[in-house]
Amino acid sequence: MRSVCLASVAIVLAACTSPESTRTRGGGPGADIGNRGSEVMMHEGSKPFHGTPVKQPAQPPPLDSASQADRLSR
Amino acid sequence: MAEPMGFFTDTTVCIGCKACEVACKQWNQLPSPEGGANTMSGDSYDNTRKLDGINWRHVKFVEQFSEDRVGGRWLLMSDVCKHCVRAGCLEVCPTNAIIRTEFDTVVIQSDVCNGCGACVAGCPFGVIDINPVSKTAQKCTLCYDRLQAGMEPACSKACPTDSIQFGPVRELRERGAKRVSQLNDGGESRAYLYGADEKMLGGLNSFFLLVDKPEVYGLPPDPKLPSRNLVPASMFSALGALLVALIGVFSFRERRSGEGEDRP
Repeated sequence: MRSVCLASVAIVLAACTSPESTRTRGGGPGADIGNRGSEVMMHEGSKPFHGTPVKQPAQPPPLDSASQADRLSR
Repeated sequence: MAEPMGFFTDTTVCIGCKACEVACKQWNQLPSPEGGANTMSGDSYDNTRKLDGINWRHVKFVEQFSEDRVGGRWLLMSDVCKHCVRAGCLEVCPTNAIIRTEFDTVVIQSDVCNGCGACVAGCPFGVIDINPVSKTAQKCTLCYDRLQAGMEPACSKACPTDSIQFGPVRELRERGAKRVSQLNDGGESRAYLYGADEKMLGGLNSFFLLVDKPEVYGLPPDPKLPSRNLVPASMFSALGALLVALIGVFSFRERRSGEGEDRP
C-alpha cells in the first residue's frame, strides 16, 4: 500500500513537469506535439478599418466660400 | 526542422521612427485602436503604449535626463514577442492553439484559439493580448507566412538603420557578441545582450542589445515559466486535501462518540 502511494505521488509530480521546461533551441515541436494542420490560420480578425466611424454628413457642405469667390470675381 | 530563426534588436541604433510598427500593421492588416481616433499617451513619443492583440511591434521611448535637462540620453527599443525556446504561453494553452513552427518560432492559430486568456497571464513578458476584432489571443508570428515564402519579416525589412536584424539565431548571436565588443571598445561598457544565452528560458529567439538594466526598458530581469509553480502548488493542494480529509475524519469520530454518549 505504501509503495503504491509513493508511486502515485511520483507519477503526479512527474506529470507536473512541462515538456517546455527541458526543451532546447531547435529541439522539436514544443509542448503540444502534432497539434496543427498543414495550413496555419493566423490572421483571423485582420480588419484594418475595424471600429473606424463612417461619417456621412446629413447636410450639404456650406457654400459661403464659393459665393464669396463668386462675388469677388464680378 | 529548419534552422531556428529570430531577431537581433540592437537598441543603440534605433531612431524611434516606428517604421517597424507600421510595416507590421500593414502586412498583418491590424486595426487601429478606437477606430483610428488620435489619442496621445503623454508618455514621450510613445502613443502605442504596449504590445497587445493589435500591436505586435512597439517602439519604447525611455528618456533619461538630469534635473536641469542639460545632460541626458534617449533609450529607444523596438519590442516584440521573444519567441522563447521554452515558451510560457505554449505551456499554458488549454486548446493547443499555440504551436512551435519549423523555424523554432511560436505562433497562435486563430481558428483554434478560444480567447480564454491563459496565455496572456502565462507570458512573462506581457506580449500577448486579445485582438478585439477576432476576440482571440494574438501576437507577433515572426511573419510565419513570409518565412514560409522565403521572405524576411516585414518589420526587419522596413527598419532603416538595421536595428532589427533577422536571420538564423546562431549567426545573430555571433553578430550580437561582435557588436557588444565593438561598443565596449568604444567606451560603452554598459552594453550587453539580453536573452541571447540559454540561461533565460532556454534562450530567446528574439534577443536584444541593451545599455541599461532590463527593468529600464520594461523587461523582466529573470523571467520564469508558469510551470515553476506546478510542483509547489500540487504539494499545497495535496496537503490541503489531506487536511480536509483529517478534519472530516475527526468530525465524524466526535459525532459518533457523542451519539454513543446520548444512548440510554
